[in-house]
Amino acid sequence: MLIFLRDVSGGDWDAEQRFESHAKLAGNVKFTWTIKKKTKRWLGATLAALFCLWLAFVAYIDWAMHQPPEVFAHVMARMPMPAYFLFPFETMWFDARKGTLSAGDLAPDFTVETLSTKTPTQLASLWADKPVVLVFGSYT
Amino acid sequence: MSEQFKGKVDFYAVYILEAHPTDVWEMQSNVTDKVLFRSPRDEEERATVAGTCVRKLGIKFPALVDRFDNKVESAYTGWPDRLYLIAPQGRVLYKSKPGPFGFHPDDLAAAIRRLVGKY
Repeated sequence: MLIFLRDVSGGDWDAEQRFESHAKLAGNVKFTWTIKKKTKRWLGATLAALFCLWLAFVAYIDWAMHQPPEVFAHVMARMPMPAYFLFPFETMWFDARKGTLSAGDLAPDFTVETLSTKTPTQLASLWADKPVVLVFGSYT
Repeated sequence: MSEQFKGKVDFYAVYILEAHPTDVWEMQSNVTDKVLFRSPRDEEERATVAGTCVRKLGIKFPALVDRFDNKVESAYTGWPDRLYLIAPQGRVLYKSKPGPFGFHPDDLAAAIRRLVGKY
């Protein structure tokens, strides 16, 4: 059995689809698709354009991740949740926030304020004699 | 954990700029938990929010507050949260991956056990 389908609406669609159905004695059915070159080119161009858009989007997110936290937060606040799944967030985040400090380096020394007494404290004085854990964070 | 290693390792909270202030990047989870604070406008406001945090979360170890120039956060890339273990004399022994995904207290505990075993 051979079936031809053609769009006669006069629109842009010009692909012809030919279905071949071979009903064999064993009951197997075989379908074959034939798509015209023009349609293939159109599909290829669309996919290429979408890929370029995706690359640009990922590049923008990567740029934002390398900015100070306030800038990054402003960018992400405007991002709809589904967009989070369009790029490898965790991998990119780990890379962007790896910083310049590594295990084995000397911990930078700064003056900070002790919350309870509001007095200045040198970080280096904390680890002069004993190991120290620093837990960075905020309430929100 | 700070109680578990008391006497061997000192714990300090370093309070830095807000992760999800209401005026920048408010999260639904914060709305649910009623943790709603705008970005502090000065060091005093930051200290006030830090105090609320310590009180509400029952943090038993001392808290330090980063200055408004965020130099400590910048040097340690501590935002939004991060863990460090620093040996006596200041060598970094353990640096967690950045939070939230990389904030793993279990890994820190393992690093502390390796360190404490040497003393």
